[in-house]
Amino acid sequence: MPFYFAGTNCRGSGANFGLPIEAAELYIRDVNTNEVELVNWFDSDGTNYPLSIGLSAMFDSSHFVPGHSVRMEFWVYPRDWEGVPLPPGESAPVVIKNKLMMFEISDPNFTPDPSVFVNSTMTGQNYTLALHNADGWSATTYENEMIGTNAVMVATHGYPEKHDDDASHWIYHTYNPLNYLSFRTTQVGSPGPWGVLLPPYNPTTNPPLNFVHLLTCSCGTQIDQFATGALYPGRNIYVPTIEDQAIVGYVPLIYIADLQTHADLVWNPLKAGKTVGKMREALQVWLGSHPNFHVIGATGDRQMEIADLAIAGDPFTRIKSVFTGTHSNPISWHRPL
Amino acid sequence: MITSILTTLTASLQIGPDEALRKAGQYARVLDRPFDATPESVERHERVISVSFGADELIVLTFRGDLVSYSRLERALEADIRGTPRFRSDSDAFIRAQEVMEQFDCPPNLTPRSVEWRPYPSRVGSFVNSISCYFVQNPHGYATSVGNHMIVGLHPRTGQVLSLSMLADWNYEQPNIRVTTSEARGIAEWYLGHSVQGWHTDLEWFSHDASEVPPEVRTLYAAKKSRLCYFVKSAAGAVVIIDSTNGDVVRHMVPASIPSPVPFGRYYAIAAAVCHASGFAAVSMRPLSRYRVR
Repeated sequence: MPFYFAGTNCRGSGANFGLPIEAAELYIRDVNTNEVELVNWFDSDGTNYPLSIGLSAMFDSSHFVPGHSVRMEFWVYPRDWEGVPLPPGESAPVVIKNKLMMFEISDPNFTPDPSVFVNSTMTGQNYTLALHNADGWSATTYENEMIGTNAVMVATHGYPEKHDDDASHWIYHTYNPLNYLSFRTTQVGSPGPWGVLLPPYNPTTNPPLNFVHLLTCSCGTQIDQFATGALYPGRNIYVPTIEDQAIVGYVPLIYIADLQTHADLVWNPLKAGKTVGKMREALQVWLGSHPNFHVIGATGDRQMEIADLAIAGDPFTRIKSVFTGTHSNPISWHRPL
Repeated sequence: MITSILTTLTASLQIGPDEALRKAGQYARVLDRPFDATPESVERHERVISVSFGADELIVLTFRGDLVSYSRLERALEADIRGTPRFRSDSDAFIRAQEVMEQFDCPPNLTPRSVEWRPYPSRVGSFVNSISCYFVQNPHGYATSVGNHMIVGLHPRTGQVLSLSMLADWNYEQPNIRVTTSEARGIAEWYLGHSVQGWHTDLEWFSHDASEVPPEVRTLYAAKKSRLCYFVKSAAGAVVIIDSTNGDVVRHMVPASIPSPVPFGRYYAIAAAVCHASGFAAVSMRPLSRYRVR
């Protein structure tokens, strides 16, 4: 049993064998509201009736309200039973966990406020929103809020290998303690033998991070090293490589006055169900008509270019609409597998 | 009737999807690319057209079909960038970038401004991820901060083009410098409310459309025109941009990097108090930016 459903790459399935099967249907049901959706099905061609059938589907858990539980239901219609199904197979309910944490240093210069903007953008998207932008937060606050979180936006001072907390303490180095890797290892749990205890079957109820936006200076310089820790364990039980997890950061210094614009350029495409790679494309298009958008590169103030936004992880990552493993336009909140 | 004719005329100057695909394919062929993807889909945006080449490449065009930018997603570059680097110096990179530029209808009189070598640290050593070469115009001898330019991103080992962006349709006002460098520094200090040590001042062509920018400069931006402005820069990267014609503070930019020992919020408070004492009724940021020296 999965410990949670979090993100756009959740999977459910049903199987049956031993009877000639005419049809089968896989449903997902919100047990809190009783809303039910057909997510995959099988119809025989009228001549062949398989003796076993398995159906599975992928879905975006943010279709459901966080804290609700959903279960899979598998209905099988055996041949010549005149449309009367077997009693449905039902999974145990699994809790929905979609949480976006937004941290920003309480510097009055961070105006317009990028975290408030992201909070507003993501309101109504079925993410629990945890906003910390003015409360003297520390590394401990940050860590505690990461419990149950699957998306992060952090707007602080930043350096190639670390970013700040609200008191200008360096937190979250790429490799020195405190670091994302050691912390996420304790929080998400160490994967056991291959294929066992990986997300979402890992022994804790904490999902890995689906998407991280380091809205800071310079953290994109070593984005792969941030990725190693922040996206830990970087794989799930279904595939051996990183999937539907990504982190983005900026290579040069970025201006405080532009933080909200940066946030807008990242979060609005993602909210619309676009992939991280398509978000990057949208940024390239936007930069093409905004030559006044500047950053501070190694040699000083200059126009931002597309390579200034570094991406690590899976460019097909989405935070809304079902993961497709492609850059296709968002299709729906679920798809058959 | 006039509107109708103008609309028709404007529409006739804009390329359609087929022409966009053809143009993008033409530009792509000129680039030395590691793969041979063909243009697949066209999307029209508010000000530009984008053409996708599968998942990894994108070309952006103007409505007339001129190249705005090209980029490819740098996936799995780490292994690819090991080996003997092709470039040993900035000038090596500039020579290659100039070869690339010759393939395009670039704005005239571009000159090399800077090169950035982007590091890619790894457990087995540090590699250069990409090399960006910046070319700008220097109308009347001043560099362009917002104006025509070309940026060529190169693969450090193969020299292939990773990204490219170009702007060719900007204009510049006649220089009308009525503010001296020392006056510009004085305005920056007055604006920030404290004396400034170790600042560096340059005159560059600039224009912007942010809401806090004086209307005159926003109007210029809308007309794709730049004005000469003072860039009063601190060592840490803070910039106060001052209009060289009338002394307006055009923009104040602070990098979100090293925390300032005195929060800039406090500077604002001090600046506001100075403003008030000087007889200005308003004490917000925007009235300050309307301060004029002449």
